Amino acid sequence: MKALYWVALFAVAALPQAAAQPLSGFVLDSLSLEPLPYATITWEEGRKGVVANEQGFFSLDAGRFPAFLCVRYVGFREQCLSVEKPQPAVRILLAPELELPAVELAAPRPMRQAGASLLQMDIRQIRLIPALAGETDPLKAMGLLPGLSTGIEGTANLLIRGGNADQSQYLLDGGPVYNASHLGGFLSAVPPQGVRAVTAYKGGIPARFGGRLGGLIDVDVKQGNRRETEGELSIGTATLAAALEGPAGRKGAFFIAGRTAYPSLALSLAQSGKYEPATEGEKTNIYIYDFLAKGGWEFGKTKVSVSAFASGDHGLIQEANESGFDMERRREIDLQKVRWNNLLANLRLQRVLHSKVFLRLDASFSRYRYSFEEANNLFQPAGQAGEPAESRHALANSFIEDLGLNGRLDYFLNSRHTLRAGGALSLRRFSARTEESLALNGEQAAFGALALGNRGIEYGLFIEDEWSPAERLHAYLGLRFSGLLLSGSGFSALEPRLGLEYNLRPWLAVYGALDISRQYVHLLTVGGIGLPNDLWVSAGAAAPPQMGRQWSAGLRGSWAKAKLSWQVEAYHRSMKRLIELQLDRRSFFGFEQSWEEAIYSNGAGRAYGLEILLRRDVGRLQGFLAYTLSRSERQFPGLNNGRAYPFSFDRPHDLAASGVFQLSSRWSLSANWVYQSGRAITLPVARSNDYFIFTDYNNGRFPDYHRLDLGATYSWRGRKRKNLEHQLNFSIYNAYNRQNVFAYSFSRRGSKLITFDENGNPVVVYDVTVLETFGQTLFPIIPGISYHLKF
Amino acid sequence: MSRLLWLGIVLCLLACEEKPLDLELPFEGPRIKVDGVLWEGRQAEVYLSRTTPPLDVTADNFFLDGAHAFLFLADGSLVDSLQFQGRRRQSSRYVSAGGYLPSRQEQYYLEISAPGMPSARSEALAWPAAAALDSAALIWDKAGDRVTEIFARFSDDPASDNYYQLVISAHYRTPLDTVLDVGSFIISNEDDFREGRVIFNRALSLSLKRSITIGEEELELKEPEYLLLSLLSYGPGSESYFETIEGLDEEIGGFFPGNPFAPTNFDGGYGFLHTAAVDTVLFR
Repeated sequence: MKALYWVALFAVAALPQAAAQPLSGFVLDSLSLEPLPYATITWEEGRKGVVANEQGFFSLDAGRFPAFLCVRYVGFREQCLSVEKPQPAVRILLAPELELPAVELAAPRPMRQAGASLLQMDIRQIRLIPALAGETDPLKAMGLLPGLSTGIEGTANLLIRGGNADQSQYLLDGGPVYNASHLGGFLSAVPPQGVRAVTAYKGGIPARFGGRLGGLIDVDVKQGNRRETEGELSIGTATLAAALEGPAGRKGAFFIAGRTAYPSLALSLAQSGKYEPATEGEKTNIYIYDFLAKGGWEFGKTKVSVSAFASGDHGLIQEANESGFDMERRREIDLQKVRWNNLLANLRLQRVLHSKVFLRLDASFSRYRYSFEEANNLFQPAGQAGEPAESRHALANSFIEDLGLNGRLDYFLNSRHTLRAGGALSLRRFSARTEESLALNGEQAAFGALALGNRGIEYGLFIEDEWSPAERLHAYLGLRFSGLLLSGSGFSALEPRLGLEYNLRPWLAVYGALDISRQYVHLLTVGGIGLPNDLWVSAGAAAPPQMGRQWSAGLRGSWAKAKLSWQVEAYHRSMKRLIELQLDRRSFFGFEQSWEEAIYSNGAGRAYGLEILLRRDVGRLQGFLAYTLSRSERQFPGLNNGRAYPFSFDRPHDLAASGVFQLSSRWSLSANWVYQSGRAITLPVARSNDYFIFTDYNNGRFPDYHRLDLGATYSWRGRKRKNLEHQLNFSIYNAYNRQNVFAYSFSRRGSKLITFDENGNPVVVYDVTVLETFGQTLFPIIPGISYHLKF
Repeated sequence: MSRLLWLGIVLCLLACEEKPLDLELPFEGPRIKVDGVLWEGRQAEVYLSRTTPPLDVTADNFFLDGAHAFLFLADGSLVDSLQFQGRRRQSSRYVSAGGYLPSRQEQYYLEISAPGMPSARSEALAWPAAAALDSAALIWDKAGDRVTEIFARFSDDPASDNYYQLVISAHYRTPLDTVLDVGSFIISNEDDFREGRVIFNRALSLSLKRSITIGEEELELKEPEYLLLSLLSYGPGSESYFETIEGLDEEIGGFFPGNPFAPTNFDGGYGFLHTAAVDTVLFR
């Protein structure tokens, strides 16, 4: 880190000092003084411009002064101002829009980088989208946008353009998060109170990001209000949340938010009686929590910030059963305990080294841990106290740890070039352990102990140039050199990233991008659903790094008369060296020696599609219509006889319509309608005398998925205490109670069937006359209510 | 599985519901399905059935009475034909017509044809490495008419698939000289072999009381004349077959569908023709 700092200083010293003094500084939120990432600054009537970095820093050489600048940021009022002379360290303050913010797209010049396929939603907009049980969920809200999907209902992972769950990278304040869901996906693990915006990169992924094939979900965390202290309390159908932010000294700010759900409280109240783990009574206890905090302080041109994120799920189910008679009466106690949690800490140092050069250094630690414990004790006779007659115990735990160092220099060379260069180093540790033991009539036996673990160092060096060779033409040139170091072996690759954008008209742009990428981690997942017990493993000889290539091209523009903006984009992705957990492996409990023996390897994937997004961002009625026409396939030599098959979450049609109507100054109404083709499933092609015959993987589909969500929000201010803002939010998830199927099974129904043998004797063949197909559905109509108090 | 079901339980606690589902299930047309074991030194016997549309469980539709089954040596020489000998459960039984006794020195394949469906032909069948019982004992509680403990020791070939079955059968002195299986235990690689040891350990209380129907009369059997403890060694692929079909009854799909593809050693049909060897100890 220190070496990188000296390299940066050396680079700055080499800058042409005689060059014209640029105008540089930060774009900030006028209310909180928080930086506004990627704000756009244009001049000469929009013909020239630069994009601030994610810390709101910009540097430009307007050429002639006075210069007339216009500064834009999604969800904030555009600010145009005249600057008399070049000066360093200016602060441009933007005021938030009172109306709903917009998804960032469709601008005459690229909002961030030429050719990139990115979508952004501001938290204020996310909050107005009706959600399951009224719980605002930033990631699920993003799943409504084209090219992003949550796979199946009940999961929070975002799948990007037909990719696997592990191909989406989640960054929270720059640090990696390896499992972003609660309760198997009921909620995402990111507390919305701490989120400012969420950005999804689907294509044209900058070279500074790497390590995943699918794309990037970048969660922008609040940095704290530097002007005044404010807070928020929320109570909803399922969770209780609080947040507080404010100044920390004269030059700093802090932010802290936490949330917990209380299904366990209701369950505990409903239960009574004695409970001792694994020996007595029954108990069900499930609770979740998440926590997000950040603090930042300025020391001259240097800013230091620290952030922390933690989330966890704990579940315990104990059942007691008695059976048999007299002395053979037996009592069985079954206990299952599961936990998973994330921990992320990040330390960031940033400094304006020169009016054109910005340095950012990050050190982060991230860990995702999962554990499962199962105990089965048999007491016979039932009333027996003390040691059980038979006792089984199983334990499994796994974790992935990531210690990362990142450094980067942003060099605003001139109005045509913005250069970035830097590197990243990630020391990863993977571990999975299982143990099983059996005690029978006083004798102990331990067996099945499995310990998997390894380490790896992933690195990446990158250079980027955002280049505007002509007034209407913008290019992005990026190159990443990435690799993985393992003990005794390693991998490395060059990953070029290219983007191009041309403004056909002031309101119309055509753009395209090409990405080559590598992924040095794999996720061993059951059915691709994305569950907490999925196991992260490092790429290695048996499962080399995944390789991906994507091109995308599109048109975007706006229709001022109708106040609409739109975007049409096509893409094609190819993936190689994919792995998949074998069908008869259900978790890492099932591994005998190593995970390498439990996978199908050397898989390939292909995904392609067309995405359409239509938005209305102003007026009393705002919203968007998103449609994706796509296909996604996989092919493994060891699966489906080597034939290609539809990816489990291949959904040819995916449509989402979302709208918010501002009924009055106090009431706003909102609605979503979601329609998706049914996901691919494996169906039997025949029935034999004792089991179903399956021949092709994912050869069928569930019925189409659709649902309507409704929401209403009533907002008011305190009569006496005007600083109190109240908000009452009502929601109905799945308003017409569509029973969307996510799993199926067969069930026998009917009376005994009697046939006769060759001697004419009656034979009871089966207790069956009819076999029926049943579908398991997850979420019926679910009303939700939440109350928010801001002060 | 129960470990994963936890997550299913959590989801169901939230809101899980089940409803009849109108799924359009494909049907590829009827195919031959084979169940059988080829024993060394015993005449061949297989059970043939036909497949039906996925939701058709009408028992009569599974019978396949008019098939032709032939046993060949791996070099294509015909050694035996099998003829229909009645029905049992939902299958049609075919037994050796020529009385040929298969030998471990040869490899065989079975070919079956039936009207209205493609012919099915097995791959060349490999014999298992036959394990022998080094020692065996059991506790036979004659007063209680039950077996309460069994001890068995055998040597396993580490290179083999490790799929064995211990079967206890009882011989009852009756007018029909009846032998009935009274207990059966699978010993497989997956569950029972850990660190080179068999850790097979099951609660045991096998009642030896049985009854048979002769004509219209039900005859209760008591105290067998002798018990047989048999160790069955199965050939390649059997372990995978038995373990896969175990989860392939009606309870498929669900939260974690598992592996739905039952292995077969037939081309053009389904099912499995196992090869097996047996070692037996007699107890009086």
